[in-house]
Amino acid sequence: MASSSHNPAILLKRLLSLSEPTPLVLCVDAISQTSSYLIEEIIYNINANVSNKENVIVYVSFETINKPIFATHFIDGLGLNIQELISKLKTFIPAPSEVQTKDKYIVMFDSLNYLPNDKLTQFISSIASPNLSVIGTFHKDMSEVPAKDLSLHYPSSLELLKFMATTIFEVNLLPNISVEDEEFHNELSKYSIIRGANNKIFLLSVINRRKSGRSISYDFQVDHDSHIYEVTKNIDDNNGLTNETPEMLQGLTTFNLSTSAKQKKAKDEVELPFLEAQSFNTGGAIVYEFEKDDDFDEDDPFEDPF
Amino acid sequence: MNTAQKQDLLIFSDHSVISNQMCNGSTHDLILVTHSEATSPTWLLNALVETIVFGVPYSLKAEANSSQHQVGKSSSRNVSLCSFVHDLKFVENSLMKLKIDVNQCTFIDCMTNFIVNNIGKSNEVTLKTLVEKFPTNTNGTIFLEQPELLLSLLDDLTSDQLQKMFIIPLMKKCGLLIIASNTGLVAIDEDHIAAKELTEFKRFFISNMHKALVIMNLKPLDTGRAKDITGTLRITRGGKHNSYDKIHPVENEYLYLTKRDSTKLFYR
Repeated sequence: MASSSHNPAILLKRLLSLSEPTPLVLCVDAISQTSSYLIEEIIYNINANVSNKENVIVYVSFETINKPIFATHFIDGLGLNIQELISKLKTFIPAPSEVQTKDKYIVMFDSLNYLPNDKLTQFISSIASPNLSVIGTFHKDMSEVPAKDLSLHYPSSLELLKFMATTIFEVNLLPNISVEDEEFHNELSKYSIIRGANNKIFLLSVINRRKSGRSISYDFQVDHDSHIYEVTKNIDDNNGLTNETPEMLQGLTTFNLSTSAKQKKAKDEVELPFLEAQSFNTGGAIVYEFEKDDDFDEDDPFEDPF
Repeated sequence: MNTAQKQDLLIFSDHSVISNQMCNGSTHDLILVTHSEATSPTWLLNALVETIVFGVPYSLKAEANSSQHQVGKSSSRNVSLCSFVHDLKFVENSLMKLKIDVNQCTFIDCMTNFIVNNIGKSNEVTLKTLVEKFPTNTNGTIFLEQPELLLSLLDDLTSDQLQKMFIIPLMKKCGLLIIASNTGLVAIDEDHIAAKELTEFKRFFISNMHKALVIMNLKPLDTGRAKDITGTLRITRGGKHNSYDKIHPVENEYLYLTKRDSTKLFYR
């Protein structure tokens, strides 16, 4: 639900610079649009804040051998099992009791897909620590083989991560790429990518879960080169009843479902009972009007105070 | 199509096929070639081998002639070839046609007697032995043809194990790994492959696509067969972040025509 009390662009900047408390940031991508430009945006925003320059960034890699420039430490994750990975990570992250308020630690995963589904929650909770932000990419198009001993109904890794994450970034291809939706999926099913994919300008859907439990979601168009974030119109908003016109009901049945101008005017003038209740300053109230047939008793202890 | 329309193959923004900035000893990249049964990638792999050895893909050049091969300077870059679908004789013939000295390349034959040679061995030992056959040279290039077949050849091998024990160790051994995968295999036999195996195949392909700096897709014509076009070659960016400052992959689409031993490229 969009909140009017927040400026979306400022909120996004705060989320990208990790100024908001975000223990787990999940970046969901697919082969049509990689999250690598989003990760660069996060690094750009973190570095834009002078106080963040001394951050410790541990990069856990499952897909690349090249150490990114921004990483202070690099771990080859594919060669380690879960316990070894936790032990190795803990050598770079201090124990929760030793953490000082100023310090900030970031653990970045190039892909969370390689962590076994049944050990995912245990892994994330065991590395969680105050002042630590875990940023992980999950490729949603990478099929998952369910663990042998798990029930068929056990949630997928993506569902688990979405449940645990405090901020979810989902990157998507811009809708104006000149290929029909069907053709695009047809090409992808043949492991062929359309031209214009993995673009520096992309669509970013953000879900941020506040401490109160409320979640805020926005859609942005992000330009990686100019670092400009524009709020895009939420597609869901356009699907409401406001777009329904009488013409849409024509020819559906033999009944007359349309409303004439006179009927519409009359409908708009009807005063709904709850409107008066809203005029009270103290919020909602019961509005009671005494009518001639009502039985009025002065001694009635359960009488309505109004 | 007349000769005026013929185009040279370009992959990177510095007008190169394989940029000189790659294979610098400190970077390890992956280029993925995806194809189907109807579009053999042999001509493209040959062109890439030529580029590594001579610096230019002479076999795709419109004005190529034999004298240019003499002028073309042979590079000191190490080339290793490994195939699960072609044997030594096939590769030697291809290299001879390209006028490349066979001794300049290392060939690992994974087609002939692969199962016989590895019977009774664990997957870990088999893959470790295979990786050890490749020379370590961080300036070098390794060509790998259809490694996905290992998922069928080795018992209970998963995509993640294949990545961990074969693909990533090979990437560490070279500056550039070029993988050619027959992704059409899954699309065609989808109904005949067991669900688990199918998932592993798909996971392996998508995983490589996310790792790749460039994806080159060879696709047959949607309309069927034509006399003057064999298929399309599409060059797109892969999922991996481009870590080079001065170069980036250039998206492009070519039509190509393969006739006997020569292939010509045309812009789409």
